[in-house]
Amino acid sequence: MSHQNFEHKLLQYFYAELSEKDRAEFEAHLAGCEECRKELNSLNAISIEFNREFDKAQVETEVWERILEAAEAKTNKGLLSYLWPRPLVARMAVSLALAALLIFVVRAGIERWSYRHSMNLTSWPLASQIGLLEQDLSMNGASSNGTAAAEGLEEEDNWGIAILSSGLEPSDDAIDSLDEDLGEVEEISGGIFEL
Amino acid sequence: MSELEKQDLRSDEDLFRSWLKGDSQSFEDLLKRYQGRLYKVIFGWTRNQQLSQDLFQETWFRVIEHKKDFDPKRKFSSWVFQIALNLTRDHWRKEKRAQTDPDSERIELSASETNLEQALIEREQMERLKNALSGLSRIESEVFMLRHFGEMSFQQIAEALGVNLNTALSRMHQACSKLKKLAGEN
Repeated sequence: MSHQNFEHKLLQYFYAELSEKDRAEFEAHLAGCEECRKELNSLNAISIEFNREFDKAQVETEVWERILEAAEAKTNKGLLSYLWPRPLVARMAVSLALAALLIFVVRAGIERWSYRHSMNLTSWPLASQIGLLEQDLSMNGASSNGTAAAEGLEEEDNWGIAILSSGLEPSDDAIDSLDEDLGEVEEISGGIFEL
Repeated sequence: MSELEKQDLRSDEDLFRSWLKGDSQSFEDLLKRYQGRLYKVIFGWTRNQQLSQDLFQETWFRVIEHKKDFDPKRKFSSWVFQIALNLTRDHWRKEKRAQTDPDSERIELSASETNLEQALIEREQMERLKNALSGLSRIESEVFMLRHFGEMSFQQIAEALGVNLNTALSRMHQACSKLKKLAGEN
């Protein structure tokens, strides 16, 4: 092996690049070669000094942040990334927005339920009135037209409006019966009566 | 095994691929791995803190910008150090035209260096190393920094520089011989 080969092997040995077999061979040579041992010690001393001094060299925080920002801007984002972005501030903003949306939905649901619930309570008398009306019409032997109209009578809302939804015109007897049972009944338009 | 330990086992190439798929954290992990190695290599080449910061940043901007150009058959380290080397060589070419002194910058004392005597000693040591590095030719400096701080193998360095393994080793040997003399080890 030439001297240059040993110089190269020494470098590869120092940086742990030799195969196990080559390392064993070089260590055998090293044991008998003072020049190579001296060379290795010098290399080690340089390495220690450079490592110590260069350990102080650090990337500035601003540089670090600029690189991460650039990477973030070029990152292929999936839907989840948009919904749950990485910076903590953005995540907090998304969390607050989701919480606000949840509160809004829950409140709207409660209000709607309360409204419907109160509707049912206030419209109960009207429903019972309609039931009575149906009963009256059948008991009084109202015309088939009126009976059909009563069967199609529906509660619309709690503002006192009844609709004969079948679209059939009630007979005069049926309207009289409504007047008797429910007081003033005024036809607003065809088949729709204000109670 | 913790998640952190699992991540540490991922190769640079895995992290880079993961970033390409949209995982920002993988990029940050990759940057952490290279911040010391790459910055030290560039600093060793330029011996100028501000310029090193700029070149380090520009290297990563290029990685980000040309992410789709990465050849998965190559090692990520070879690619990123190649970009840094090309940028530094560009700077050297411009510097040659402008004829500026690369060692004009003095090392600033850090705020923590309250002991003036210690600070002066450290500064003197660093100046000595910088002077030693300035005694290397650029091709010697390239090999020395890539091997010592870049942790690239001699084979990788040879491929990056477009030379054979023996040439890379010879340049390294010349660099080490000069540094021994210049740093006063002999």
